[in-house]
Amino acid sequence: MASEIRDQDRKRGVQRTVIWLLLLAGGFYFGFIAMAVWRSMH
Amino acid sequence: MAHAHDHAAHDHHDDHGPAKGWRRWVFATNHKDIGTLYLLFSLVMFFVGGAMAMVIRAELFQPGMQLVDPMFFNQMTTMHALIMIFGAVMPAFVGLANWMIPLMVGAPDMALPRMNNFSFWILPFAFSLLLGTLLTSGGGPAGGWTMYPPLVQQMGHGFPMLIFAVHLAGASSIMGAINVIVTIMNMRAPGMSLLKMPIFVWTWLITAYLLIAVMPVLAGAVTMLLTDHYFGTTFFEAAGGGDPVMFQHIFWFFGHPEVYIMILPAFGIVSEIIPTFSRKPLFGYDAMVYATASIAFLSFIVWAHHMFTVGMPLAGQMFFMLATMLIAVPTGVKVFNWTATMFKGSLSFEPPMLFALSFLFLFTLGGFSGLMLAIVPADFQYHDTYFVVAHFHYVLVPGAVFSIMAAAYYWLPKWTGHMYNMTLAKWHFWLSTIFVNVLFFPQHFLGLAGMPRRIPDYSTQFADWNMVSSIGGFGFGLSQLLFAYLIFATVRGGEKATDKVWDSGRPHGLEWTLSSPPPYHSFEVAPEVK
Repeated sequence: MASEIRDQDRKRGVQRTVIWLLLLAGGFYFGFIAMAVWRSMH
Repeated sequence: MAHAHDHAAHDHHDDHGPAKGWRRWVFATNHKDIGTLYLLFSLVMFFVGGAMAMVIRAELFQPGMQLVDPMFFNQMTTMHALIMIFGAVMPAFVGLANWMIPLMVGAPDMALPRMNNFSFWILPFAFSLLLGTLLTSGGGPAGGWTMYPPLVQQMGHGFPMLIFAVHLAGASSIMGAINVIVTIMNMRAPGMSLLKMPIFVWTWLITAYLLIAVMPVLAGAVTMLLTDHYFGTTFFEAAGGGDPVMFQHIFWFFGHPEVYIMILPAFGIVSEIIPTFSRKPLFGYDAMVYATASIAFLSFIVWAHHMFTVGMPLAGQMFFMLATMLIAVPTGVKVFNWTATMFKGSLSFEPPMLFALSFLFLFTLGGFSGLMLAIVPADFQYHDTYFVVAHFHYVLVPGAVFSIMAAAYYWLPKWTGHMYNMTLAKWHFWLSTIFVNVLFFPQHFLGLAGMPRRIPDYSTQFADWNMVSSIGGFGFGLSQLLFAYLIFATVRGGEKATDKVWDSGRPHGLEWTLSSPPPYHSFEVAPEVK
């Protein structure tokens, strides 16, 4: 088993990076679908 | 490169070891265990995809229909590509990242170990679904790995399984990429600034950003295929006002960076190996990093070179042609830097170096045929011929796959604590290098003579070179049994490897400060990097 990250600063840094990366991935996923929807309507 | 003082790698860790039996693997959160799982999965998929390649080459051994019906042949070409790309090459690089990134940056593990477990264990389900399509009525996907509509919409009951499998493989890759970025950005040992990181870590950091940017685009594209199929939308159906060409644009916005996802970590591996066996530091470290970043940036603005024959305005053709050619500049920087690293070095030719050198020559050859394909009027001639097949196989087999083999031969003694049989490994190298050229080089001639790709039968004028290519294919396939044997033999035992393994005398990174094999929990106290 892996050990927990005990350093609070490092833990917050990990959480912040994960959130930004999820937003980036979600932005590309929904952004491209939105672009396709927009293009289908025009 | 960083010099390190590893304070307590050997004896200062929690006293729990690996779990016993199957629990160790099913509930694995240790980066070394998960790395091993990824690598073994990739090896299995390499042989499954390889078996499909054998079916393809057996059918093409002679003109005429010999062994399989055309529909099954098309399923084999499509499945071979999907399995080799998503099941063999990508998981192999993720496995290498899992094993090596924490060791190279001095971290105790990946930042998100439970997600790491999840992202691996998705894969067996994804590929069971994908292979399961072969058992459904209508069979597996047969319209090419690009899944172009409307052809892909003609698939039978396996269609939703294909879409779900692609989604799962994509989700696994995205989670793996998030883990890599978070680990590199937050878990580096004190003193290891970005420009002190090993080049393999750099190439993986950039690859991970590419993955996060483009895998969701593929997921979006196949989601729209699914809604077109089952929910009455017409994103890609001209009859309903949609546009099938839009799918091609979206697919290749993913597809071209995907090529670099499969080659940038290979650049990182070769950049680790060549300095070790040249006994010199890597020439132009900073330039290598900037060249990698430049290639990644350019990979986003060249996608339509896959679509020249679809039709586009002249300005579009010019832009995509010139942008594609521009990639040769940073790639050339890399090739010249590897060559300069070897210049006046004290070279030795152990198996990792042999595979790295083969990579250097043969990947460059694949790059040159890529430049030929970038030229719009020439592409009109070469498009959808065996020349394209030859080009991308040179980039992916002696390119990506050889780099994975080089990595396995380079790090296997570190992972297992055992040296492998050098003579057998050199046999594996020479057989692979000779047969890979017998297999793929004649395909250039076939393509230039006009043989189309993705066909089970061909005109008799193409018979000779197809037979040569098939002989190369069978030889290459059989040679890989030697690779599998060597890996399992090394895991089971062998001569004891030293901690540094390759006693070349030049300073190595943090991974070489650990024992061979490294302790189950390494770098629980962060090493100091100077």
